[in-house]
Amino acid sequence: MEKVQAFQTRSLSEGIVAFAQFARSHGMNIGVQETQDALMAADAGLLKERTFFRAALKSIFCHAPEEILVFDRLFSLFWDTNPIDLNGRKGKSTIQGSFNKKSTASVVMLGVGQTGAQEEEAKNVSGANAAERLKKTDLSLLNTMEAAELDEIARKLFRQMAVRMRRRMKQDLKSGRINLRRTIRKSLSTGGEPVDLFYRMQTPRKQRLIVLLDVSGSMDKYSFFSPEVYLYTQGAFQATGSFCIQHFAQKNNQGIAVATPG
Amino acid sequence: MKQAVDLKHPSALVSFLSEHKYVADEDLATSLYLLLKLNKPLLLEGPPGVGKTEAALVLSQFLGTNLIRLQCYEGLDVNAAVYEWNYQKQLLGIRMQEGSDKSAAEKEKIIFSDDYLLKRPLLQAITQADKAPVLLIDELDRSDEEFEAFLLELLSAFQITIPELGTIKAVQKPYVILTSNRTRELSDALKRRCLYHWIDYPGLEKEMSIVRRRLPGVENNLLEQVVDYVQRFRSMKLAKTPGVSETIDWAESLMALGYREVNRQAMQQTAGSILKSAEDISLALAMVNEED
Repeated sequence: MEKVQAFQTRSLSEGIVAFAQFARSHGMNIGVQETQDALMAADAGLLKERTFFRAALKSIFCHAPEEILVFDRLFSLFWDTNPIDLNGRKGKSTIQGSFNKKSTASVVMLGVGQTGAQEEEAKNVSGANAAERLKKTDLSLLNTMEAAELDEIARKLFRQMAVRMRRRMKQDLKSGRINLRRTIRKSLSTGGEPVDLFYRMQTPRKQRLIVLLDVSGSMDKYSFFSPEVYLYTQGAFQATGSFCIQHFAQKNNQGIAVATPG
Repeated sequence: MKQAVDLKHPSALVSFLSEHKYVADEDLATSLYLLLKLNKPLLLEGPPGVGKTEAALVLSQFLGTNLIRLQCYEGLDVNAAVYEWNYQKQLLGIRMQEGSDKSAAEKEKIIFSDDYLLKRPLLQAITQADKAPVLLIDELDRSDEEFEAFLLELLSAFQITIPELGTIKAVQKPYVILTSNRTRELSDALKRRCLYHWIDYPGLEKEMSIVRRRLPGVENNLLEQVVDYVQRFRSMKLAKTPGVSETIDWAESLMALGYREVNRQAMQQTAGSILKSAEDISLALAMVNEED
């Protein structure tokens, strides 16, 4: 794609379209819809003053606070570049540290998204936040501070899970099969009209989970987190319990493992 | 669509907003202006207490329409957000019609009519006939993903389908403002349908002018101290960073107690209106003690 800058365009609308392409080539998620909106904003008379023009484009093109920073740099680069300064570097920009695109379907369809190679630092991805960064963290590389932070997050998360489940169960009370006996019993007080409906509650089925953990030297940093999960589950849900059985596997001459329950 | 105030330029909005005790910069004013001109929803993101909800309120005053507010929470469903049939009333309706000689189809039509429909905020917003209202969907990040997906349809077509009544199209397209505290990332699809504006904590100057606008009686000396402290609190690692609304609360409670400057005693008595956790308060008190 040939990159054009503001001074190379003939009209303002052409400039806006070129700017959209310019920003897209620097990794911002800008589609046809956004470009069209920008042109409409120009139509609405926002072009006379620079501050408002800039603010309008920002409002249309950005979708996250991280993008705003990049937008500001791109904006001045595109609209303020003096042709004399460029001297044979036409179309090349010197933006440092611009982020990579989150490859969403629409962007891939436009032919500029990159697929594969997802293992990069999530900090650089457009729209990344702390949670997304955490998803790509290697658990074995955590230090004590981060582990404590993780503990806190886990506690919050399981609490949220418990609340959500309780809410869903309560919501279930408003749908599903009617508890006929209770509804009729209650309708006696309203002259036989079933004014209040009662529903059958669905009791959650108990699940039994058996987990095998390898706690040998190379794996214990990872497997450590698994019992943690059950610990938190127990904290959040009253009806859960877990048991730990330790099992030493030793290689011996007969090839049979000797078990020592602890 | 006609507006209460003739709007030619965002700067008109800035001055209107400041008359109505809302200090907005050009960026926010431009976003609001685009919201009115392009009739696209505006997504306001930012930390709690920086005036996201307030912006919608002032916008509705600007347009001279009413504000319809939908507070999102976990588990918000269609029944609470869009509509619900008034079952008990329908039941009574059936009883009352028992003696009449209407046909079954007519009777059914009656009990599934407007009278028996409980309109929730979203339906209210699109059925309002006289003037396009401002629809505020507050703290969208708290709702579930399913609700967000449902909203997507409403925001693009401005219509709601009720099986018994058919599709209801918006009489007047409402002006939609969505707010989010960014506790979770909203879906890309939703973001792309919206204009976007990020409201951050204000700088020293701006925060002072906001507080002054809200509390005209505040003394300069006190105001400077209060805002200076708040700005320092924000740079500390606190459990809950104070927003602008807390600053206003704090200045107000200091004034109510008759303090003319922030000293140790004042801090002890009023810390609760600016900082919301015991650890934060003891940190702040330690800071004040150090300075004395």
